[in-house]
Amino acid sequence: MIAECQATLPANTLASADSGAHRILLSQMWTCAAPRDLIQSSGLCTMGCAVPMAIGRKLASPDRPVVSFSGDAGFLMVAGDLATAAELGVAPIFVVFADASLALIELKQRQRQLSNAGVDMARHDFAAIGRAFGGNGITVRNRAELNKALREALASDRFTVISAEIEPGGYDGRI
Amino acid sequence: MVQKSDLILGLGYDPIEMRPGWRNVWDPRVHRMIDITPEANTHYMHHDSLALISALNPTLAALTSGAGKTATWPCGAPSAAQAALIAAFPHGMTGARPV
Ligand SMILES: Cc1ncc(C[n+]2csc(CCOP(=O)(O)OP(=O)(O)O)c2C)c(N)n1
Ligand SMILES: [Mg+2]
Repeated sequence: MIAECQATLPANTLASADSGAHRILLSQMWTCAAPRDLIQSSGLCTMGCAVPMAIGRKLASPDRPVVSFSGDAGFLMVAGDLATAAELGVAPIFVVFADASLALIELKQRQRQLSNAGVDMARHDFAAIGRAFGGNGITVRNRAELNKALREALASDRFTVISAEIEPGGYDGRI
Repeated sequence: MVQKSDLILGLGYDPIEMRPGWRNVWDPRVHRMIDITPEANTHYMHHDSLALISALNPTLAALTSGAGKTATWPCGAPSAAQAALIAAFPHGMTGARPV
């Protein structure tokens, strides 16, 4: 997913990342062309920051592509912010790593030999949430579908939610 | 690579939520570690051998005034680590870049 986004999105793309396993993997892989091309909450590591940061980035730099990367749980925390994107008429791309898990906390529980508690979640239709707020919404399950979704999102004048469905545990051995 | 360093500088480094295995990566009895932070270390994610509790910019300006550039890591370990990190993950794409 990350390699596909990096390869497909233009080099002048502005990105934001949320907090969780996806952010650790993204930070290891994402290459920036200039300082602050990727912003994240490095201080408090707050979940939910990526979506509003992407809206702000697009508002400030309407001529550059903007993408946010969120976990499914972090995206759910601020899904209502899509209303703001719609009302402002901005068109960032919101990529959701939909693994039906609070993966980073699940990993920490396992590493400390604690039992699994409160970290599994359902699969929600994030693409439909995007459409409900007046944007585009698409669910993808492989790189070719993701590539197509990204190119359509770049060409759209509305925001796009791309829900990339991945298996729980997919971060094991990678972060 | 961090453990091979002869000096570790934490410049405003304020870690939270460190995973098991990422805590106390260095041993201040063995490694020289200087922490420069505006707040005292109450996170206990690592320990220092010297703590400067002060604002970052003026402290760094004072410490580096008159200091020339010196070569670090002649063995090139940081770029080797970076290259290994890049090689550890997939690259490239399946589809076409937008025109
Ligand atoms: C506001 C907030 N609450 C709780 C946390 C602790 N926390 C860090 S990552 C995480 C789980 C994130 O799950 P998800 O958004 O699905 O991302 P994933 O780890 O699955 O990639 C939690 C609860 C936090 N960083 N911020
Ligand atoms: Mg998740």
